[in-house]
Amino acid sequence: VPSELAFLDVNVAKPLDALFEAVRRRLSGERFIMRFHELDHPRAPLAAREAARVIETIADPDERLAAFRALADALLPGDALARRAAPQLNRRILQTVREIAMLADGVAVRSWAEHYRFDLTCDFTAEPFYVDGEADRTVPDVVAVDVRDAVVVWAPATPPSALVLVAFALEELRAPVFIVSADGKAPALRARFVGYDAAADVLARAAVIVDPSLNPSNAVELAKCGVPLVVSMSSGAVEFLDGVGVFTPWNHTDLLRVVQSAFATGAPVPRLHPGRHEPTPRVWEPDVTDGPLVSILMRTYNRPQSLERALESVERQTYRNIEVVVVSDAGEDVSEIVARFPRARLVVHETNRGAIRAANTALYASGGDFVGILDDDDVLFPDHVSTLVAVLERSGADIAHSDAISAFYDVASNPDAPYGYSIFLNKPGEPTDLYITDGIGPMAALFRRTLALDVGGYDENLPHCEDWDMWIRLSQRTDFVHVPRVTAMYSIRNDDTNMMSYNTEGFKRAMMLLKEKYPLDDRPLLAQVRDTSMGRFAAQAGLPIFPAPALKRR
Amino acid sequence: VPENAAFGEDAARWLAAFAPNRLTLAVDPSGAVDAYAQAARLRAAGHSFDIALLWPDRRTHVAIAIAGQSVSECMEYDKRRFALEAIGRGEGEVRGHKIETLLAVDIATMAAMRDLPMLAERILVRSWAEWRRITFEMGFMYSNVEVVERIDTTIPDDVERVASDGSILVWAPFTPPAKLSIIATALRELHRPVKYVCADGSFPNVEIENVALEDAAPVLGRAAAIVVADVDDPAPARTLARLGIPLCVTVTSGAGDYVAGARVFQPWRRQSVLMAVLETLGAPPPHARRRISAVTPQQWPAAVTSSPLVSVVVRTYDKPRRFLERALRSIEQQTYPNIETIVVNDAGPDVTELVGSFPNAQLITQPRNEYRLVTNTGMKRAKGTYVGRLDDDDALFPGHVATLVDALERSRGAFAYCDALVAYVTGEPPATVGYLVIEKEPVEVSKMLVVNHIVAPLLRSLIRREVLERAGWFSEAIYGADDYELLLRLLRDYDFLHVDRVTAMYTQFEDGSNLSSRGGTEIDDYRLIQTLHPVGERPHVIAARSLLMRELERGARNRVRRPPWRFPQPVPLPGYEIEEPRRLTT
Repeated sequence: VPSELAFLDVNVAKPLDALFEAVRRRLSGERFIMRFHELDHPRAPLAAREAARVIETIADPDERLAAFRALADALLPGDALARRAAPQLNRRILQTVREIAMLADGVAVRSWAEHYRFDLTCDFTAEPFYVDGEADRTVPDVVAVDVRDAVVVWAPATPPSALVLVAFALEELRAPVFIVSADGKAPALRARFVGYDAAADVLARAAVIVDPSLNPSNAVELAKCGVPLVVSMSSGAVEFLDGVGVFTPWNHTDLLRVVQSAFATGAPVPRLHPGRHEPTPRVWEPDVTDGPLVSILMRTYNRPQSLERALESVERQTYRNIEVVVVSDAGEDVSEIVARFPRARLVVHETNRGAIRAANTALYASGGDFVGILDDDDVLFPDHVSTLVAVLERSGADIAHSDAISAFYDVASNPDAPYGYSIFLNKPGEPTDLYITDGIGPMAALFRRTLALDVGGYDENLPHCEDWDMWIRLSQRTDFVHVPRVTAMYSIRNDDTNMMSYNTEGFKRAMMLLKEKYPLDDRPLLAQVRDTSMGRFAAQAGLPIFPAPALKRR
Repeated sequence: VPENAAFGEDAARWLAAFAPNRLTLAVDPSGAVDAYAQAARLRAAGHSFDIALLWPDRRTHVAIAIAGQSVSECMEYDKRRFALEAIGRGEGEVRGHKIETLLAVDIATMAAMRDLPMLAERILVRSWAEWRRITFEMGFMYSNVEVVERIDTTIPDDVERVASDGSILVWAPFTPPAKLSIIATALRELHRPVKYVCADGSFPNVEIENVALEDAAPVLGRAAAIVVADVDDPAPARTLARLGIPLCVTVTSGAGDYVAGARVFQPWRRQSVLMAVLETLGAPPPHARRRISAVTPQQWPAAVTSSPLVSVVVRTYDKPRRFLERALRSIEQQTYPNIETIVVNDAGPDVTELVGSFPNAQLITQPRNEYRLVTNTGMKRAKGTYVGRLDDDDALFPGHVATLVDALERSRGAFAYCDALVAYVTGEPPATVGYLVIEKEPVEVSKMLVVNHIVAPLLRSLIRREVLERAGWFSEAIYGADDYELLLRLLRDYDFLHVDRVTAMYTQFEDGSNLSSRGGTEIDDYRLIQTLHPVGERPHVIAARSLLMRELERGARNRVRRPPWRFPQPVPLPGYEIEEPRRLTT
């Protein structure tokens, strides 16, 4: 149980670095909470950028107004164009952020609004991890002057160019408008932009304070001024403060309306039950380190280095009661390597009998209550077995599986380091769906050995896809319990040396054989859907059928 | 003394389970229109109340309805399954209606749900997710909101946790089976037993084990996982979390915000349900999120305590006397202590006796019928720090003056206006056929230069008298739009303050016989105003003005006298039926 929380900060401009770091941490057994606070409603930054452009290019006040109204109604000049310009809307970045979240134990959020927005934008329900934030800049203590007549926009961390929409909305007012912003060129509008050093002076004159930030802690700090407060709906500050005005950040009219209303209200009041949750310390579920014997089945053929890496990843498991059965399929001698790992034992095929027979050899030679398979080019995270055993014990299930992240290697340029990652082996083991596709990582499951033997072990008549076939047969007998957590890594190399290479004729033949094996005569509609789906695979000769990494490292 | 009331079945259940400590109307969409009538009555009588808005996630309910239909029409499991996959992607139709058209709620319900929060003191919601739904659908970000947490008392408290039999329990005690078809179809993929605690009814095409609510305790105790089917209310999930059994909950209920470690599913997607259940089976028990307070309360500035004199000028002409009586009574009932009333009779029937029965009211009777002079006649007599104008056919809610004075004193502003409820009436005695809260729009100078977008501004406002005097009183050349013309002058120098609260009631006669539309024509008023307030070099404003004039010439821009929706039965006009006739001095 770590005493301190580890966060992983994600920079929206460079999320790939964070993804590599996330994988590194998980490989070394570290847990973390993802922190990603830059995510506004996609329309907000878009509108802010467009507003700056309008003020620079349009002089006529009424044409400006029309442009701002279009912004409020989302009639942007070509939404597609704007989307290209907005990093928040970039699908690849969002996918990468989602994948980091899947590797994390939770996503740090400062408000319910932020949690909700993450869910919606990334299309991923992460475990929210409510954290106490800090204001961007300290709000100075002020002595109120007698006449409070000004509207003060508090954005000390934001450059003026990002505040044009706010400044424009307040043009309609007669009251003086001060905007406390970061350095930068102020737009030619009535509002006066001042620096943080002038903050105390202008706050003292504030009749209304506007907080356009995404950080609810800013509003909580500003509440101490005892002045009506207007906040952006994006920050979720309304969850912490009662009696604040809330505006839609891309709608200048809405901001004006709320400010006009705010003049007449009192100061905000903290909510007693603001919807904020106990943040620290998070009690991690302790690792299950002991329990039933788990057998890891490994097949190897002429790749001693990979074998060593895979064996090491088993050695690093926090779970102790593991045996490894290595079957060498009449390849290079690996006895020395295997001997270095006390939990591993070696079985040698005299002649090369193929991967599936090797799998059965390992299955029959193993003695664990639960078995899993690990090919020599794949890797388990240190908590893999412990996570799955905990789930198997809790649920009493016969099989449990987690998610796998896929590492992509370009063998020609750099065979040792992946150029990207992607998570797609994360589908539930739904019996009907398994007839059509296999979305479970080959190494991501642990299942009861006796059940695997009952269904007859791996099918040696198949040239490939023996694990898929095993899932189908297991799913006909039992429920697959799924752990929505990445605990293993699958390697995809572009040189056809994968033990599970989807691009080969063998894979296609295996699909045909699976179709014959499970004719689905009593489910004609399902058979038809499967035909269509497999036909699509078959048509993609030579092309990679994996979802490629969203972002690639050069 | 009014009592808590529920409008709609869901609302009744909520109210029964949750005893609010302030006057509360619980409303779900099925009762929204009735609730509107009651809310207006209560506000007119001076009661303030909270509104618990139970606003369902419409998208999900439509998907569930379509799914129920599809499932009952498909005998074959695979066909059902693929039909539900399509619904999960937002496709699908039922009896030829596309999902989008089914999403529509009738306009009366929508209007009522939109306006009810504006009549209430506080809005009570069950989760932030619900707040989000309401504010997004209605287009306003309400901040006077309270998330009300409650314990679901229907969940048995005598559950004994024994060794699990591996079963799944779907918890939906008030949901008929037809509405559980997405969940039922998803769970068909499982090998283990699935039990349901649901309302009576049969599953189309599916045999299920339905456990009665009173027999639920032992079944709960043995369950390996619970699927909490409630789409809108987090309370069942919150309460079930106490049992320590792995849970999955709907994303729409907002339960995930209360319960940590619960799997969250999208209730409109079959696959999402199944995935959540398969994940829940091995999940650790859920636990309640602990809540902490945000900030330490500070010393807030004291509320405004001074009570400067407020003068209300009441214009009267020839409406039935009861209208004037209603208006004067609505001033008399103001919670604000320091008000003088100046009734100006525009040479209509004698009202001396009636006005005399209100101690703070004085009467000026114009010798000749001269509508354009009425307001100034009253205003110049007024001694108040703030002045307002009320026509005899309109009325104020009891907190009106206090609210506006508070706003003006706080801000030292010149002009403050609140929101108003429009009552559309017809007949004698007048019957209300519909209500509407006037669109909330900020005052924008550029828009005001073209047309007055603040309906009935003087009914809704108080003006600092010295500001009015400095601006040169009301124009005596203009008829109905004299208020608009004054606003244009005030806007040159002052910010208008908006009070985000409904505190006045405008009566719109369907036959157009409002006092404020007497005499003159709109087109003459506008022509004069455009001359008095030229706009200079603003071609867009000039174009918009000429467009308006052309519309007025064509008669195309008629005042809207009809409500956008109607009550099924007209309701009485609040305050008109005066129970005890006022004793008049003879």
